Amino acid sequence: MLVVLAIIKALLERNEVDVRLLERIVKQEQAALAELYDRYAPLVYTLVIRIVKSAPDAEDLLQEIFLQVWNKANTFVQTKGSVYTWIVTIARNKAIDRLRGADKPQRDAGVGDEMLLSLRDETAMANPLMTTISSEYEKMMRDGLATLSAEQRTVIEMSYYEGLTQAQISDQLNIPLGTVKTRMRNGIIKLRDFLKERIEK
Amino acid sequence: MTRDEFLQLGAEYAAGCLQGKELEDFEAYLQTATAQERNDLAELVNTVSLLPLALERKTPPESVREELLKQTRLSPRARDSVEERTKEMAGKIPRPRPSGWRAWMPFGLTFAGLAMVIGFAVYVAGLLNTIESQNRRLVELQDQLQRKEELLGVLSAKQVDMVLMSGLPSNPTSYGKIIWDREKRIAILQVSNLPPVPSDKDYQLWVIKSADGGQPISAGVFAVGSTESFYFKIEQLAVTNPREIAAFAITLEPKGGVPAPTGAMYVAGSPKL
Repeated sequence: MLVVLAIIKALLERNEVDVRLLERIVKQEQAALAELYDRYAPLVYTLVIRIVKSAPDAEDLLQEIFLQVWNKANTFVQTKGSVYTWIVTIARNKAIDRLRGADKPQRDAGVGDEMLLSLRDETAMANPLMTTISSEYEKMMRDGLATLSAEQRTVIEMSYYEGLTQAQISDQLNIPLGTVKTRMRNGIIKLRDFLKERIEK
Repeated sequence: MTRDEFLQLGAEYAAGCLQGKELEDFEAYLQTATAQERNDLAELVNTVSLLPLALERKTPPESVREELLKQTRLSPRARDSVEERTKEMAGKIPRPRPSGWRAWMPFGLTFAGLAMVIGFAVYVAGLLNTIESQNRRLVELQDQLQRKEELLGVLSAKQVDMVLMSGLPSNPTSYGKIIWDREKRIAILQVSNLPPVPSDKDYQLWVIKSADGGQPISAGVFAVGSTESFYFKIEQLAVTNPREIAAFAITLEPKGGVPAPTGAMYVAGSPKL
């Protein structure tokens, strides 16, 4: 239990640092942007290169994503989510837009920046799932995905990492759309439950 | 919606897979979602957002960082910010002072405005003084009119007596007369060319009777302003028969009069019997 509390404390502190950095970015402090970039660029780059499957595109996107952070830092609302979630959402949306059509937003539907930030949950900041990243979480996520069935893991990876729509997944896997939806729903819920259980242990 | 139903839809929503009417309905439902549901959804969204952590980490080239910092040195927001700050500062930085007549124009306008206000105040004060003066004059004229009407009333009596008074050496140009309605025992004193009385003095009319050793009896006090002629009504004359009167006299006495004359005599006259 003490270990868990220590992790939670560390995660909350990490998000606090991120928030302070964003506040400095709002004030146009380049050093703050550089620090935030150093904290998140590898993760963001890893995600976008997985989605667009092109190093030059991923590099271009990485720069674009942090330019958006620089320009829109003042739109981040601390009480509505973590800096990590905000940045990852921007990154994934931009990468999928790039993948699907020359940066024109063509996502089917989903959690946009605004909708994500509109999830007004005052308990969010106290929930380690919503705070930040850590090496412990990296391992936990890998472990969590490993607990899913291969079918569940496949549809989630095709959707999240490759930006495919459920209809495209249905076509590619030659399974009914309903099955794609069910696998995805159950997989995500199971992953959430796994993470919660691990944290609460 | 049951919790399981909410979690199912929430999972798809978190993954960005809800579309069309399903998406609209779910977002509409979110507007009235319970705290528990919102917490569930937040956990699902953040679970999905943690998926990148499971990927094998890759390191971006250093050139991306350098280019990013190079661009942010003068990014659109930076330029906007500079423009915004310039606008903000424009309101704070003192503007260059105008030269020549422009420099004095604000003072001139202020002075002109002040002069207009003062001028108007003087004008209003003058008007008020004029009105007050006119009011005083009106009261004075009304008083005179009243006295003249009283004089006419006395003159219209069936029988009147008149006593002429002349100026004495202290003021030889003054003169006066008393017109007396014996029946009504009312008399009017008219005097001319008496000097205006000081503020602490009054003129006092005396009746000097033939009997009683010529003891003067006060018939009233009055003040004279700058007017040449003055009428004063003697309400009750102490005597009814002119034969009892040896003389009338006017002296200058302390304000309000005195029981016996003490000051200089200005005019005096005796009835012509």
